[in-house]
Amino acid sequence: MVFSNLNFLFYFFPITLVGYFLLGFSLPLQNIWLLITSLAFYAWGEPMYVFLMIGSIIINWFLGIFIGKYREKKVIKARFFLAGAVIIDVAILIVFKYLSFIIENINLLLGDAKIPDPKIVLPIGISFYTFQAMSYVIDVYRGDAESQKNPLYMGLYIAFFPQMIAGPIVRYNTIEESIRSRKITFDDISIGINRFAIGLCKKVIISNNLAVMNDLFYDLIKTGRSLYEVSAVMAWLAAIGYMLQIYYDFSGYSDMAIGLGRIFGFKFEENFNYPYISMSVGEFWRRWHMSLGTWFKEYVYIPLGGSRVENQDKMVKNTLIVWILTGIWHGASWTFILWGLYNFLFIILERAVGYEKWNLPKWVKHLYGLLVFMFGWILFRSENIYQMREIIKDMFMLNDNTFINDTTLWVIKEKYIIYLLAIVFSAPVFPAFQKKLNDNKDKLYSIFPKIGYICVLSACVIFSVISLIRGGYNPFIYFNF
Amino acid sequence: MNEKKVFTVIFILALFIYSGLSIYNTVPSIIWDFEQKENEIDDVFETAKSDISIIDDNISRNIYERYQAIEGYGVFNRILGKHEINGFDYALDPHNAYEPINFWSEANDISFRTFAQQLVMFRDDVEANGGHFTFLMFPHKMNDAWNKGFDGIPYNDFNEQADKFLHWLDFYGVDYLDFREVLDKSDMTFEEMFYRTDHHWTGTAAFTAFKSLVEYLNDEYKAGLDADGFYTDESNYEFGTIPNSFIGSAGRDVGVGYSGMDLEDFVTVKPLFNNKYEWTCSMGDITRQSLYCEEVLEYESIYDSDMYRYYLQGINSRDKIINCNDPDAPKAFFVRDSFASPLLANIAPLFSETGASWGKFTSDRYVKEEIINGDYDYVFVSYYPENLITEFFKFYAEDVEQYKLDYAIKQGYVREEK
Repeated sequence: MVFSNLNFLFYFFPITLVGYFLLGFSLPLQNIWLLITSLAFYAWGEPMYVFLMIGSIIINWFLGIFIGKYREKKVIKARFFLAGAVIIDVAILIVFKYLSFIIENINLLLGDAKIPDPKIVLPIGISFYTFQAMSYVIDVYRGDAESQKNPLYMGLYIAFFPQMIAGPIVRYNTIEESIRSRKITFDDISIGINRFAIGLCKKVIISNNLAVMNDLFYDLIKTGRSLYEVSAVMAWLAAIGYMLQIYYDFSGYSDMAIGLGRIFGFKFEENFNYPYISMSVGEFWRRWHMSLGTWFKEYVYIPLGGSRVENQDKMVKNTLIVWILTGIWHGASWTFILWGLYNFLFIILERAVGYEKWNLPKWVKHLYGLLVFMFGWILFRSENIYQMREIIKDMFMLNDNTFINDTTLWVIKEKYIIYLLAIVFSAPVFPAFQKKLNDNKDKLYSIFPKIGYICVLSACVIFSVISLIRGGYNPFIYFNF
Repeated sequence: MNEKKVFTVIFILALFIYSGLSIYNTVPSIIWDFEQKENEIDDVFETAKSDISIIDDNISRNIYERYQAIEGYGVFNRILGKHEINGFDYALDPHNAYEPINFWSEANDISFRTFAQQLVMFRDDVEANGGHFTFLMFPHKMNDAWNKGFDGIPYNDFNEQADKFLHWLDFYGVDYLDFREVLDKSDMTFEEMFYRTDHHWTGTAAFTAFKSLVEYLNDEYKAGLDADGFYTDESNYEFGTIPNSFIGSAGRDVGVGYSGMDLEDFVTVKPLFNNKYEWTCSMGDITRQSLYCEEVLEYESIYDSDMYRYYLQGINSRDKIINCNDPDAPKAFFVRDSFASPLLANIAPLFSETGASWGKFTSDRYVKEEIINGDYDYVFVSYYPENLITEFFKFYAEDVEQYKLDYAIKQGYVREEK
């Protein structure tokens, strides 16, 4: 089940809301209700793998109790249980996500000695909830959070449906208090609903439409130039389009997750902050999928020493480890690892030359950033090195392809509105508009934009719902992770 | 005014109202589907997945005012002036007709030469039994002769494939009749030949094809069919339309609003003579006076209708039509697709027995045991260009491969395996 489905929007969500608020007299009952509905949400798509998640919850809860118990007085025992929890969590991830990839590469090295591929289906959201589970046991060990005695509350933290499948990755210490006690005001509900609605529109109107085009363009590139000539403009549209698609897809889903959390009284941290206005790769990663970056910083980079190490070589090594892991986290493929290394290279280079302090015109820095991100996403999206090579060659007419053709012109004519909306709203246009609205003290003047906001958002939501009702393409990139 | 709070109230009200109406629509259908569910699966997880799938399907199909939403989406796209809809599923052409889009991005290993070789073997077996064999090519809605389309749109145009296939039929000397040429030579307009919201041809176009087929059989094989010209005389039929009544398969996907026009007029062909047929098909054994099924012309919901079933109930995997009025007439068999349905309804009076088999369910065994041994005087393979695919050419496939292998061994290209 995903948020942008009819079964979620008009069945699961209203039923969960009604049940939650009817149980408003008891927070423990509300928490249990959320846990039950969250497990049902997950089981809807993965009836078998819900038990894997329940198993992960029980193991981490159980080991967390011991970590909390021994943390202060018997540190070695606490470390033992921590190591056990982390090893089990990582092992689950390796088996269900990376085993086939590992076996495939061993088989390539061995040649004829074939290890059979178990062909394990990737459970949805496993990367997200195992990272949350590890976050919990590490926070308990560090003393940043108390161990949770109630397994149902622990289950709620890991399985809570708004963020369980695709983040934001919520660190336990940030919502520990909310699980135990929270008050929901109409303000919270209002902020949550608006955020959810905006996320839904981003996902359905912009991302899904871009997805249709990008998947088509990449398929055409995969077909090969002997069968289909991809024009240079089409290749550039594929590259830019995917940049925009993944942003609206993921940030839209994060908006919906954050909005849903808020409705139920949980304040999740932001996951995106207009990353495409960044002027460096370093800045980009402070604005993109921030919860993942924070997780790696808190639980990998800083424990390794971070930047405060005696020599720069160690800092480079620490950064390399983080970026290899970031690449691997995204998927079991060499292109993801290469993508992680690609980002590492630019981050290290920027640090080495002090790029962020350079006094260059903003548009130059911005263009540099956009080009680096774009080529990084080409690497990320490509199924293999061949496809990456072909799209880049097509972009620069190195395949004896034309600059533009009738079909490309037609696609632009049909879809230019989507590209325009996507480009405009990838910048903080909306917050600037909101700020201006709030700063304006003239009530009469400000009423029209407010009515405009209500009408436009309502129209967008209606259009999104109609799009979902008619069926059609509704992929979600980060489901693959 | 806090615009976010106002929006929240509107959103919650609309959500619960629409949700309530949708649940009210959906639950009876879910219950009914579960009651009809057959074959309990042993695996509890597979059972769960199956049950979830039933619920999800019902939610998608029975969401409140589903078709109004589809129409609304189509109208919105129309207002924006777009020529494509549903993520490049369909595009408009200059006739405001819906055409599937095809970017031709998939390589395949279809060999029209091999298909032609299979028809050669089929023909040889038919002729060995004293019959005649002909391939019939139905017309494609996209054709330069009557529909050039808008620039740049990669319409799903299979004419090149059709031409390649017919080239190989020419090469191997297999008789064929190309209805694309027949329609091109007729005076009919695009709107008279095809439906806007469906890929099929109209009854009028099919009748023109029927006349040309009879003429062809009489010229080529001295068939002597319809000697007095009664059945090919249009005055013995009532050609009519049911105005503003029809929506084709593409229209049911996309809605009619996208075209900016009303529902289509559905063409009916009513014989002004009575015949008696004993018709065996998926519905069982039926005795009828006409093969035009008027009962499908009435429907509750236009979006659940399928008026093309007016012609011989659309398509069945097998049909057998006994013409009780003329038991001494020749026998014919058609390996076919849905385009043949109006043609069969027209031609059945000319044969004592008309058999038909849906191409994708026509196995090699069926052809050799039922068709070849059925002693048919005329055997036709009749396809629409998009059905020139492996799935529709299962017969004689292994024979052709074996023939090629034997030839290669004989020529020394391949060593025979001991």
